[in-house]
Amino acid sequence: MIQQILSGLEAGSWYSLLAVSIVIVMKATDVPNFAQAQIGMPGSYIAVNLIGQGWPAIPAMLIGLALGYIIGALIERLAIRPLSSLGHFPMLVMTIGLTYALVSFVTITFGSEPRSFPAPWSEGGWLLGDLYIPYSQVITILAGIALALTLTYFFRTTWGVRMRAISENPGVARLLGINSGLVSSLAWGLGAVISTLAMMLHTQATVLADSSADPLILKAFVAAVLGSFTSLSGAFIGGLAIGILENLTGVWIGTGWKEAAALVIVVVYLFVRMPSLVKTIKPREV
Amino acid sequence: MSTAEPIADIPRWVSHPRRTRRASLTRLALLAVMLVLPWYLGGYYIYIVSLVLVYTLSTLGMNVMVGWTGQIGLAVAGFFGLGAYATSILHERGFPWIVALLVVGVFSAVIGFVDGYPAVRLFGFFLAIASLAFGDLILRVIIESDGLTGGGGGYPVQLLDFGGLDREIALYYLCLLAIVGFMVFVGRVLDGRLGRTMRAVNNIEIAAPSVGISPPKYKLIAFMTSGSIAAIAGAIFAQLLTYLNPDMFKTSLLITMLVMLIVGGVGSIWGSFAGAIFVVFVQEWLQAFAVYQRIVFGVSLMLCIGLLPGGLASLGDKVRERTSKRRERSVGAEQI
Amino acid sequence: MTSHTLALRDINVAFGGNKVLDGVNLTFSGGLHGLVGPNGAGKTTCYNVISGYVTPQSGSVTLGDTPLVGVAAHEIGAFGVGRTFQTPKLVPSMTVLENVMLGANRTYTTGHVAEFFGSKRFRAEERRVRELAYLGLQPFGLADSARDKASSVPLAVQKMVEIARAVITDPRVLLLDEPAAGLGASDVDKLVNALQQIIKERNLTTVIIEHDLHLVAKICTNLSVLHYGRIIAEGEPRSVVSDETVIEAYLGRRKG
Repeated sequence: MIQQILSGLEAGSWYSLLAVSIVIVMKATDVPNFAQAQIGMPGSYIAVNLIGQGWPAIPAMLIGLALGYIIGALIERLAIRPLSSLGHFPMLVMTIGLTYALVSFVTITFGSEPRSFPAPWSEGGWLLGDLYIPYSQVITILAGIALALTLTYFFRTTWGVRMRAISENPGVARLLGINSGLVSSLAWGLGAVISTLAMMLHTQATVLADSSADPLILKAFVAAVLGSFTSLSGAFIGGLAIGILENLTGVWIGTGWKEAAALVIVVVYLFVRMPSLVKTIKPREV
Repeated sequence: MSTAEPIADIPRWVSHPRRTRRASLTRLALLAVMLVLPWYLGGYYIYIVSLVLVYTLSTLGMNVMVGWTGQIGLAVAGFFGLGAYATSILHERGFPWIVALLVVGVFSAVIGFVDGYPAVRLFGFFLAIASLAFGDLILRVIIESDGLTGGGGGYPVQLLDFGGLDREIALYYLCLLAIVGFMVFVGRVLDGRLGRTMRAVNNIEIAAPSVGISPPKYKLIAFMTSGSIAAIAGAIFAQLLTYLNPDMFKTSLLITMLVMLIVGGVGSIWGSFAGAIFVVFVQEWLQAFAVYQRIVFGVSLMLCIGLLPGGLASLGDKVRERTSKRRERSVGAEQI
Repeated sequence: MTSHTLALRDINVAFGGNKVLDGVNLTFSGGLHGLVGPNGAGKTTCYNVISGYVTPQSGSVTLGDTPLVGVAAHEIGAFGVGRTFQTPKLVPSMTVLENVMLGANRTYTTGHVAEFFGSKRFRAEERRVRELAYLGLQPFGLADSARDKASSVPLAVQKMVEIARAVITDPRVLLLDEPAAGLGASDVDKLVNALQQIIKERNLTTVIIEHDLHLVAKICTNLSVLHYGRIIAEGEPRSVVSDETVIEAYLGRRKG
């Protein structure tokens, strides 16, 4: 059971990180980015490539993360900012198109065979009685927590405060001289970095293929929903919860239903939040 | 409040509005062309056109939801799959296909109700996620009921018996019948009271209750109608493909349907047709390269949102704008 | 007519920590009432409470004998509370006539199914609604614009169309939210004349929210002044307008 919970925390960390980046982007630029997981792919591929060519793991990952930032900022500048006046639905569709564009780009550039992530900690783990804890799991969970703490700190810094201001009250923020363009750029870049990190962590546990991002994105969105799209901590905890519940479902009910767990969670959650019924007047008295 | 006596000085056009039949010639011509198509096209191409018609139908279903009541309902791929599997299973068990179709149509409306009842009170974007999850859930149920559906292993569809008629051609006419039927249905709805009500829900949702219109009620109707239409399209789809596999109804299908909807033009009946043609064309043209298909779809989605929000259907209006502006300009020059 | 009497008793509304309406008591019965007060006083919130968009923390709203609090907004609209909005809410792609026809929605006895099958009764009702809508435009002199698209008509016309739409719902009470705002003098006159004609014909209880004290004092039989969520004055226009507290509320405290 603890084994399941730990695996759940590991998967949950991926979802949490992605969910957090979704919320950051949403709060700063009001765009629901369906491509948030796919944005993390190019950076991960570069990192994996570099490691394959002999680079040490950490520098390779850092380069991947840097590339992730650049991609995020580029996409923001080219595809998002010009369309910033459109509503949620057009932007959602736009980002859906973006997922296809990104995944195709990755497939063409890097091919579609899965790659593995030979990091120094990929093999091996701790053995505690009945439990086998792979190093990669621990790293993932720690990375998630570390990121959460870093973000909490970040949002207290000047730029973090500016980002929060823009998301809460764009008009006033602009009047105060906060450059919304820079903040958007930063938000997307930051989001892309977190996504790249999430994808890299995912890769070290499994493999990296052009289809890797697809199953993750919906669950990340569910986690973001659990945080009402506005709360970073809600999204973070939501992601972890989904990971755990998912794994437990897989064990107790059946592996097929594991995939459905996130779906059921979101459907139930949203249905429950429905406002209570309102009473009606009897047939109209003349 | 009843007035039986005719009221003087009300213009004729108020009491007896002329039902505009401007474009009917073009439509009749198109219908004529469609009717005789099988004489000119070979079996495979008839299959392609049938596919276009089926996709047009499912896109019409999406349009009911998105175009008329402005809701981001993304469960359509799930209903499509539900229609495909459920009709085929009932047919296999001995029900006549039409009966199975009707049963599934009604059942999908019920499921649409279940999906919609809580969903209509949700804020737009949460609705998208909820319906997306719901559609996926339907698919998951299909996969898990592998006793009935064959699960991931696939399901061979019991073929409709058309007597001695050529199967491809008979299916084609079935599709044509379904499309014409729904276009008539849709046209009826749009012109009259229900159309005005839906437009009120779409455009002035805040003010609608002040005239006694309950937006959740009509959004729910849209949910149910949209689900039924998608399911019926799925049922015909099953007959076309003769073999079902859950992979066919995954998110990639939803995205393809979104492409049809957006590229064709949201809210436009002819847009649904144009979008379906576009998608099937790309799929055939780039058959061997799934990757390139995806690029085209992805980029066209992005381009449409950015540059052509009304989709292909709005091109006609844009051309008309340009030509009338040009005419104005030339007239002005003459007057100088 | 008591069935046309709208009464608010002890209405309290708070949004978050903000108290928007504080123990408001109002009675509107027949004729033209004015609800005035400086910006942000809570006037539109009163309307929102009446038409069911906002639920008060406490208090009651009755139309005739029927309590309205907690009833669904669309039921209230169907029951007899007609209303317009600060910015006119018309469907841009529909014509003026069609927009007014929206108001008659609940007077149909046939349902949508009958419409779909083209039943004779439905077609007769549809025709009746079209005629009523046309007639509804006449007091405003808008009959000629009936076929114009709502997106192409000027603001004054839009406002009047919205009123026509509210009137055609055959309400007992008509709530108008700043109907004259943004209108030139001649349009205001047109609007007021039409309004007075309609009120007389139908014996409606009408409430107007307005900023223009002068206008409201001229046409209303009764004024209620709302300030920071409280009624600070009520009664005949002449006395209310010269009331000290009212002047202070509008102009702010004068120094010395």
